[in-house]
Amino acid sequence: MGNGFSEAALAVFTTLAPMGACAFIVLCAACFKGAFEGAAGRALDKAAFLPLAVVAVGFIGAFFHLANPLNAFFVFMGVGSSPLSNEVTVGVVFFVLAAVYCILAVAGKLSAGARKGLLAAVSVMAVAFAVFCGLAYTMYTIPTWNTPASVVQMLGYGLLGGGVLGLLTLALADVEVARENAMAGAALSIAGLVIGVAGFAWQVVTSQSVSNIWGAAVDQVPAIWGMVAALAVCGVVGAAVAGASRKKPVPAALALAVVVVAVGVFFARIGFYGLYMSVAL
Amino acid sequence: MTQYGFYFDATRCTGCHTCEAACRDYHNLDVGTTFRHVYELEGGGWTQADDGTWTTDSFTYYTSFACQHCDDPACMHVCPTGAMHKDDNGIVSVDTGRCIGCGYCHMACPYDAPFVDRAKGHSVKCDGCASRIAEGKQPMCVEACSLRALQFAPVDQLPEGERANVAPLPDPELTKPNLYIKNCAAAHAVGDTSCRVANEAEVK
Repeated sequence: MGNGFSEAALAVFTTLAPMGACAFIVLCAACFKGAFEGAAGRALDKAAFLPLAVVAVGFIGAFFHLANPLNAFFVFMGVGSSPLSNEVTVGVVFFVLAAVYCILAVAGKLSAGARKGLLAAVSVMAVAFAVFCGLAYTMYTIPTWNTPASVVQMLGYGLLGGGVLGLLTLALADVEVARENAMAGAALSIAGLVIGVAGFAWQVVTSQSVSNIWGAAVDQVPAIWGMVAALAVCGVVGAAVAGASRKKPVPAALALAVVVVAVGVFFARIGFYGLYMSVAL
Repeated sequence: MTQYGFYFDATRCTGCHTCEAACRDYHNLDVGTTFRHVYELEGGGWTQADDGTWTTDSFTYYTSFACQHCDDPACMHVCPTGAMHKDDNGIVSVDTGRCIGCGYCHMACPYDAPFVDRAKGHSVKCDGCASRIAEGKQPMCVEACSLRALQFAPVDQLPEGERANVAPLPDPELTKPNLYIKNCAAAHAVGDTSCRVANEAEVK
């Protein structure tokens, strides 16, 4: 039986880590538009540590979930067979790649071509990481989670949060660069909003036919549709602030939008964990 | 590899919970945690005929089970570290030196068998009283059962029974559990939804 708040540490991880990862997609788009030239480029290189830090905080949240984090290195033993091992491995590969990018960039060791190539690779890994975060929950004995909706919603949350956080990162470095690249962040967050809300709603709908000896899955989270609505409202706020940045990016507003989106996604994740229902007991 | 398993004779079980209590005592488990569950299932009702007489189809039966040491354990499939493994007797055990206590085994097991003991820092579950088996003894639950409703042995030496085919257990095809049951007349098969768990507060 599920109690979503008992998995709050995992909710922190699945909220922040994909969000921070997908923010690099906005940096990548800005890079391909030539934003990393001159003084703005140096500021952007320093600001890139922000989404990396958000990912790191997410991983720290995941560690709090573990009863014995000291054995964490054994996680790689299950690559290929355990969905959790696959998720962590993809996440670690992403993090190392992103950290290497940030360090080389701030040290001034990246040529324009290398920067584009590395950021493109980091962006691809960010999307893969969000997808694998969802795949980690597709277990055949848990019918409420064993659905493509688990994957779709995680991808959506990553893009939604990443779009807004990416724009905040640009705005903290250079407001003008943020304005010029606001379209990329807004498009990413709107796409994420649609995919994330649709994925979550899809899961709730499919869960309505799931029950076991203890009752119906959706009865465990009576406010589940309210959580879908809250996610939608928070996502619209985030996407709207991102869209408004096309005219005048305001770092404080973007920071607030990041928090609002994170809260919306966090409660959606609590709802997801609350829908946990085994095939039997 | 020898595959050990449990046999449960439901025609003998009175639902006394001695198996569960003995297990908890032997393994020094806290109140509220257990490796063995005794479920009390009930259903049916009373119907009044036109002539005023009453008839009943009410029923009650018990089922006692722990980890099924499945041939295809869901807990092992999802374990990221390989800590959850089958030993030479086919017993699903936890390598405590590897377990990270992520709880994935607990989530995945449809029998609600393993769980994370955060104080110990790893998953815990029935290991068939492996140390007692090594000494030629029986698991504590088997020895404690005063009705002799439980047996534990290599599966080819167990009495004939249906493979874990009783509600509210899951379809045995999912994980191929090594629990064989002699069902009582009141028992309902896997998938039956007409019964309910009468002792929910005890087992949940």
